Amino acid sequence: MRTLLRHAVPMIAAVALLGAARAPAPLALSDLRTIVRYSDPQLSPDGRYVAAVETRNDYTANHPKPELVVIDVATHAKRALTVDRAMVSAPRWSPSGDRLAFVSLDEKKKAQVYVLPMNGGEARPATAAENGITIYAWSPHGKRIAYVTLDTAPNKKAIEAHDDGFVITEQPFTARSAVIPAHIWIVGDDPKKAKRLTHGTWGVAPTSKLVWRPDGRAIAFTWNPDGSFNFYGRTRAAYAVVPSGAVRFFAGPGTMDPVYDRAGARVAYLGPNRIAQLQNDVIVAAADGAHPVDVGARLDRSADPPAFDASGAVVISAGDGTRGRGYVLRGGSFKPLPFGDVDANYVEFSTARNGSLAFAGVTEHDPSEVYVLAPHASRLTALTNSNAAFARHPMGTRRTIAWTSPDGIPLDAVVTEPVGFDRAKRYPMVLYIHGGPTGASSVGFDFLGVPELMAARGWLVLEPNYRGSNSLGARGIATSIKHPASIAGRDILESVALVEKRYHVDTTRIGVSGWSAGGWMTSWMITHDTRWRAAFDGAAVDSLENVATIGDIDSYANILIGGDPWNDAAAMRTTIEQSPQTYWANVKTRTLIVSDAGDQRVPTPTSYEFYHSLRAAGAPVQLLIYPVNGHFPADPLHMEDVARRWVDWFAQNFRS
Amino acid sequence: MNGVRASAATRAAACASAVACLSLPVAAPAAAPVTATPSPAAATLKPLTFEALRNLAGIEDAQIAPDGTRVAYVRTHGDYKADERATEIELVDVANGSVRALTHDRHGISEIRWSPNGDRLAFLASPERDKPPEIFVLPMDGGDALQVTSVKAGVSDFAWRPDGGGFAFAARDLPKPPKPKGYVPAFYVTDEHYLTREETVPVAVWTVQADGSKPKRLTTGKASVADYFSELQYTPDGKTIVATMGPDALLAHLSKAQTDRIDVVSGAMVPIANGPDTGGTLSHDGTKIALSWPRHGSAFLQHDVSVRSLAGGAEIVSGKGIDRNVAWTRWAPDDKALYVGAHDGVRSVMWRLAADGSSQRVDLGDVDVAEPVSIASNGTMAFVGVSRTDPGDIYVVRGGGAPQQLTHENAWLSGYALAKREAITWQSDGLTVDGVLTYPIGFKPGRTYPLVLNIHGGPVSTSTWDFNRYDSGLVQVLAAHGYLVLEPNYRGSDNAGDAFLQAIVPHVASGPGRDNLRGVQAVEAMGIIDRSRIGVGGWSGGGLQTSWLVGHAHFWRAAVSGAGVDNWFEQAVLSDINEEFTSTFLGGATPWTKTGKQFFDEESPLTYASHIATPLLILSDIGDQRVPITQSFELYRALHDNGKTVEFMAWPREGHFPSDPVARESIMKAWAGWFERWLK
Repeated sequence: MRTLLRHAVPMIAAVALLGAARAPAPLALSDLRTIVRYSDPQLSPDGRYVAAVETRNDYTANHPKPELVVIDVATHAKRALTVDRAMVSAPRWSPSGDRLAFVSLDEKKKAQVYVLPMNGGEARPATAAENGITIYAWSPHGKRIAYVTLDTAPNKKAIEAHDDGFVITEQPFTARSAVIPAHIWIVGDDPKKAKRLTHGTWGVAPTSKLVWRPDGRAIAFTWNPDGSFNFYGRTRAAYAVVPSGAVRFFAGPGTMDPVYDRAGARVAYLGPNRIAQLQNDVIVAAADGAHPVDVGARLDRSADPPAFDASGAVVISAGDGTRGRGYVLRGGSFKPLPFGDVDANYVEFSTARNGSLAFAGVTEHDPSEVYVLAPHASRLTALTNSNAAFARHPMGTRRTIAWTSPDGIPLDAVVTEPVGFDRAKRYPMVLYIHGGPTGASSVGFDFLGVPELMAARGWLVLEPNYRGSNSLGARGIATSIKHPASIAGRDILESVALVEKRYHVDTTRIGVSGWSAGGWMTSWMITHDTRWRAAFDGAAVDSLENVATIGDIDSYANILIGGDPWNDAAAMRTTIEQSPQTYWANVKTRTLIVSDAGDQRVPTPTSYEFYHSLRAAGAPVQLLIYPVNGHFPADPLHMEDVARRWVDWFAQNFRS
Repeated sequence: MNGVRASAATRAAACASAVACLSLPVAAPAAAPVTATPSPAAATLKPLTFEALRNLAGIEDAQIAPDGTRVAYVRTHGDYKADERATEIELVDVANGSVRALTHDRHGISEIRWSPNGDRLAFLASPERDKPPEIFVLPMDGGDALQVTSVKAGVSDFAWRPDGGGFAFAARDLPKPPKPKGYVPAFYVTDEHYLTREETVPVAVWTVQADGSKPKRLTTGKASVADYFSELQYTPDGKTIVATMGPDALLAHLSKAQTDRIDVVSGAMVPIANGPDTGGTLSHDGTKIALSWPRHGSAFLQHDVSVRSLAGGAEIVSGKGIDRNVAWTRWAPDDKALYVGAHDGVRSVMWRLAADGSSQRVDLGDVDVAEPVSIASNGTMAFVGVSRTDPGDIYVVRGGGAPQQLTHENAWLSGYALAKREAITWQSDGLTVDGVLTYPIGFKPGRTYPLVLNIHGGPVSTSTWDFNRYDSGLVQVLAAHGYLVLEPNYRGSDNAGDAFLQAIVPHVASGPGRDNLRGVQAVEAMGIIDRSRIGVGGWSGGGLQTSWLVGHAHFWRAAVSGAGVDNWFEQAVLSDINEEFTSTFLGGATPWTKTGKQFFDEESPLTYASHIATPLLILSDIGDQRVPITQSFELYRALHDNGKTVEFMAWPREGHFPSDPVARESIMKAWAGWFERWLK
């Protein structure tokens, strides 16, 4: 979860109506409706099958339609396992591979675990949790399931009688209830006879997964001091003893995502890098947490949650410059896996007994397929080919440029050349800045498709990996702490200068854009420079104080700021210095500010403040509101509308 | 044209007619004891509790029949099981006081209006629970009520056509039908509040036949009925509708509203006068209108009466001499005098403004006038009367005599001990400030008691001594728990004239802060306070003062800051009343200059958070569009993260204060509970 201020990676999917043989035309917005997205691919224990969630968008009903599919690794034959089940997700094979569990909604719209016999027969509910479940895991012998469910509010009766006032502690300004922790339960054959394992005011972290120790006597998870989403730097990799429910910690604050190896002898988890707290290192320790070794420090890349492969080696994905790579820990250091042109962005690998590994990957021209790396194979095998049609469109080439900052930090960026690029021609350019800031831009097909659509319009697109990006190493992140905007702002301007050297950029038509921390950088650009023709400023961190006060993860903001602005005067000064809001009077750029009405991450009020300020500055500014909750619209129509307006805004402003 | 007029004051709308924007709504499940005098044998009476207060009946919208024989009114009470404000229409006979209910099981009744000849009674009600209101017509010679309109977004106001054959009504436009169902497209905002979830669309004037046929949208474009100010009215010839129109539907633009003449055929709108106004009352003959005229151009400050010619807009009579903030106006049947309601001292009273501009306060003895009066053609005047012991009943005045109480809707209160309340005054910065002092039950001279300040919001509002104000229940319960309660009418209150009101500009927090501290000193001088046990609380503008006071004095032992303005900058850019409101009270300052921003900060309680040592309870609605909860978060973090004693409670409700009885009671309990915890 280092993507907090990034685009909320949405569960996109599309109705695949794409005819196979159509004359290739530049990519259009409507083409993106055909995208099929894969998530959570799971190898069967023997490695012969992959179960995955295959999602298309239903644009008529305006919701994603996920389905469970199973793919034969040998033949690539794919079949649907579920028919019209509500919001299926999280397939997990039973340890023997005879059953497949998944999550779907019951008649009360609560998420429950269902188990599908793989020798035929209908799925049966395995849980009947009153408040629904969030995550689950098979026990080592496949006889039980551990799951996490929210506690019932102690004042449930009063709430039902409308007496629902609540205490605010860590919640965001959008809160509608008290902070309620989630805890671990265990259920056997009878869904109604679940037993609670853990208790307390602490909670299972919102980002946690559950992992049984192979002896069945412990369950590893990520612990949070309360039930809030405010987890950054507060979590601890932990395990609960079965059946006592006693909780033990593997390690201290900031650790998360513990996983046992197949023998149950070791545990791997993520912990804060020593130089940069926001970079995740992999730490391997004995099964009780003793003798931890920071095996990730030498890789110097921010790891995604680790897994163990059949040989007992740790496998991870991590951003590396403009690529998302897979790595395996061999001989004490991480070696890249042979993924070729496939990016593994923010994935957790599924591994099988036979040594194979599966994930959903992305390439420059293909937004999503399921890939398997067979044991000892020198390249990946694509198990699906659902988005092949995109490769038939003429697309802009996505190139990586790299440079070193004056203070010696290696930086890079993705430059997308316009379709039909002609080196002799002059092109307008749009900056499309990633969020996080601990995210990264990679050469893979963008999740919104915006750079691809812009290239189809004949523009250069620049996606800088500025300081703070999590694909550049700890020093980059470390040097951004306490000045996350000003230093990144310099990096971004360097990237613009570099592109201007290498390409004929129409300097009268440079646009700047981004969402979340990308919006923050956009706001920073327009408050510190007037070269921009137009700006698209989505859910921008204009006021760090807002993010650190009324947002749902103050803890993340406080790390960037270097303290709690409410009890640390220096941190408050940083908050003010690094907030674009402070410099509102400088803005001249034509700006479209965009926010969800109920954004708890980068609080909606921030956008209203910036809008009023820019208006007072006399800047041509508009504020567009999406009437939805969350940090980014999650429904297909609004999501598509964002992409449409993003591109149209520059089309409109690039007309001379 | 008969004398029936809509009463803007009964609307739970945004900034009621008095534009007390940052205040608790007045008249909620308020209530009324039958017996006007508490029994002297106080020992035999029970102490008032929040549970007992569930019995309160609220009386609203008194409407006398054109012939003066009956008065219809809305009776409300809290349905704590369904958690809604239950409403019914009751009818009281002026001759014998007999009461009967006219409606059964209807939701959300408001705006009851007699037909011109009194044969029917029209009202607004929700066809089903939680649905927006529509016009219903009840035949008064028997029969079910007929639903006249079917406007999906609901009717916000209406008026009978003078011939009784139809209505003018105001209804919000509907956004384009969403496709797919429930999908709301993205939209642009300007001065909308930060919780806005759909595009702002105008409230248009419509006409419709009495049987519901031929609905016709009369006004076009962005202009929108400012229904928080004024009601629709017809001229006697039925050819013109008078309505107060804003340039758009944004509450932030309320100071730009003007009352217009609207041609019923063409829909053409012509402003009556040459400046912004906040609504008015048309004379019976339709030749003149008593406009509510903002003395300083802002809808947020004092309003005077200005009687204008309907045709040319020229001023005929000025009511400036009354020098109180006009809450409502009603014409005498002969149009020769105008009744003007306003706060005065700690009471809600009325004046009679004569054609020559002279005015006289109408003597109603102990009875105060909670809402616009309703006057029959024979001169009989009906109104909701309140007093220190009566939360509200129907009173009539005939032939200029003393008010006669017709109903006894809160007879149950006679079994409870009610606290003694009196007005006190003190000096502050050369101003004479008053307030209501409530004595603890069983008060004995010579002993000392803990004191709690209960500070009103607005700031342009007034703490009155009657039982009608919503928080009177809280004050009575605190008195039952043994507290003295002081409700100061600090500068900016609208009970003492324009100069006193205007004295709040621009020092919107610091000026009243001094007044309130001196109010404590004034009670101290009476020798009745236990000085180690003084608390302070308030909602909205009262929350602002509470946050301010605990940052400027350390003797407070407990404080409750509800929906407080703690940060004027956020108030300016996030609230539905927006930048104009803040700049009005901060003397024209904006946060867009260095000195302006500095002044915003100087008058913001948050700036002084590090001085706060008092245990503070912060309260707010999550969906408060008036005083955004973001400010409460800031104050909370500023205290909590520095180890101060602070708790923050919120209610998952929309609006500036919950409208449902359970949440209201729950807030009052938390409020009183905090004082019990720290002052006992």
